[in-house]
Amino acid sequence: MNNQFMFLPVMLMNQQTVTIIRDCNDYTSRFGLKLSEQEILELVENRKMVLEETGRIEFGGGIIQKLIMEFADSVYVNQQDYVEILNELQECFYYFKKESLEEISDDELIGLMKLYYDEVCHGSIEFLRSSMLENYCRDIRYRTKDYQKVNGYEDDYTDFLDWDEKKY
Amino acid sequence: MNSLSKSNLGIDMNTLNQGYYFQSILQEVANNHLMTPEQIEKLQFSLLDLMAKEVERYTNGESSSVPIEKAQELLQSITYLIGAYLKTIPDLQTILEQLRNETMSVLFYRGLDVTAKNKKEAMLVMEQLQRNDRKLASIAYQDSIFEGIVKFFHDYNIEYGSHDIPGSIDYPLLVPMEEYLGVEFILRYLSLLCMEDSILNKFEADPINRLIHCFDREAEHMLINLCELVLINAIGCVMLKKDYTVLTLTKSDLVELQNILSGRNKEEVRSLLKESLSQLMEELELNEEQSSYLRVTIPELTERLWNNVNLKTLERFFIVVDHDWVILEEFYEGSPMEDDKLREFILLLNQQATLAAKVTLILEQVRSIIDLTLLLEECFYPEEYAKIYPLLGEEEIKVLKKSILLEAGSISLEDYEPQTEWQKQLLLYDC
Repeated sequence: MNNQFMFLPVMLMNQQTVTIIRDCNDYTSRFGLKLSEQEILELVENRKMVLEETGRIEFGGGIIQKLIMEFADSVYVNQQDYVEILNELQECFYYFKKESLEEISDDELIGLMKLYYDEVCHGSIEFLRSSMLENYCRDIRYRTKDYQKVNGYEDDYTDFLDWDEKKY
Repeated sequence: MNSLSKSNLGIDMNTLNQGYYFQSILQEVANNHLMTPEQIEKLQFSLLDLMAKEVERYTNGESSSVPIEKAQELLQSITYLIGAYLKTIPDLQTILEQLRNETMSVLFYRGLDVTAKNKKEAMLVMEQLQRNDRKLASIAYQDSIFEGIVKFFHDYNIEYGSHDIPGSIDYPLLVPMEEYLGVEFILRYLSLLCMEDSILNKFEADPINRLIHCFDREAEHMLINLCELVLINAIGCVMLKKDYTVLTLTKSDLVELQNILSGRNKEEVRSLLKESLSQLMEELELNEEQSSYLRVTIPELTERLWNNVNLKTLERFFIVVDHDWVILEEFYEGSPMEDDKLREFILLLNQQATLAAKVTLILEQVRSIIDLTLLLEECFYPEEYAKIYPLLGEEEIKVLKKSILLEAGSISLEDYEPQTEWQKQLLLYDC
């Protein structure tokens, strides 16, 4: 009775995710974004790997569907790097979900990622990961900012705008 | 009910794991091909759907993923609750029908009802035990009933941690419990404890407390089962055809028991033990449930008794209750005399003409081991000790020797070098 998950159909869970991602193409195609079958499988495989690395387990369609829908209208997402961006965003999400000690919900984290990605990082996932989200999660861990306020990140965002204006 | 009946499809329901009942059933289903692959797939999907819903409920809909450890806990809680409901169904045929036709969510919510009912029942049993005003000398027993189990009911999470056993339950039962989890464990533990209580109630509190005291001076703080101590000595009394209600076995009784048991083979010892237990149960007018509970202990008790008979160490199995010794030891636990009073007593002692008179005076008036050792040290010459010890009596010698033992601590008496002359001579003195 050691393997508690032996009764759960893991293969079927992945199959379910493939179908959900495929359905997203209908919505994203209006932004010129589409995932091929091969790319979908790559995303699912990457999700499996990231979940294992972060020691998590996910039920339902998972977060990938939400990420696709949220980032579809971003000006920094294009068909050429689409699957790569989604893979990195997925990795970012699970990493910071863990780093934030589960203090923020899925929707809040995705909303935050989108805002930083578009408004502050201008499409740089490296910046998003190494600076913005890292700082935010540190604030959560050390309780240094009023992160629980939904609009809390707006201060950071304003700071960055000020910094930009001063410099240039 | 025959657990191997046709309705159970040849599966012995008693062999199913009680803690992981649902998993155990699925294992049997898979091994015996009792469901089609389509039915199993449907069941898996249903379980997956339920798991996803539970994760959503647990995270208040804020997260679709959880750490693996938490997911394991949630899944274990779900399977525990489904198992709790399935346990209420007497035959495997009906269980299979439920698994084929119902969704896992339905079974899960039915399991929640069953577990809530079990929890309520367990609380009633706990209250019943707490109302028992007879306080026996076991701190572990009191702590378990008045603190550990109360904490369990406070911390028990019926939905997300139904398989957990929070709180601390230290007091061991006569027959160790295995396999059970969650509130089923507590309910079973409390019911068995209640049964043990009802058996102990057939005896007076004084003999039980004396027995505990004779087992070990610190027995109150030990994790020992009171029912076992009582049962063993009562069986000893029955074997000797003595009054079992007083639970008293002396050293000479043990010699007699050794004579009775020596020369018998293991099977004969078992028979005698079983016979004595049956006689005891009859005399105590125990019901069938109580009797079958006590009968479970026979193999283990036989093993221990058989070993001790062969090693001639029956005092490790039975408890020697030396009535006077208990009183005397407690007698010397009195508070020491005030300085003035002690000075007067020493003057009086020195006025006595003979050693016998001095010793008589000590026996009459000294109530503390501290005073006793001080008087030995201050009021007698070294050459007098050899004459004093026979006058003091066996029990006083025991108390004095025990005081040396305590002083020696972890050092064995052979290696211990006594500080005073009376101690040196006492160690050489053989009563």
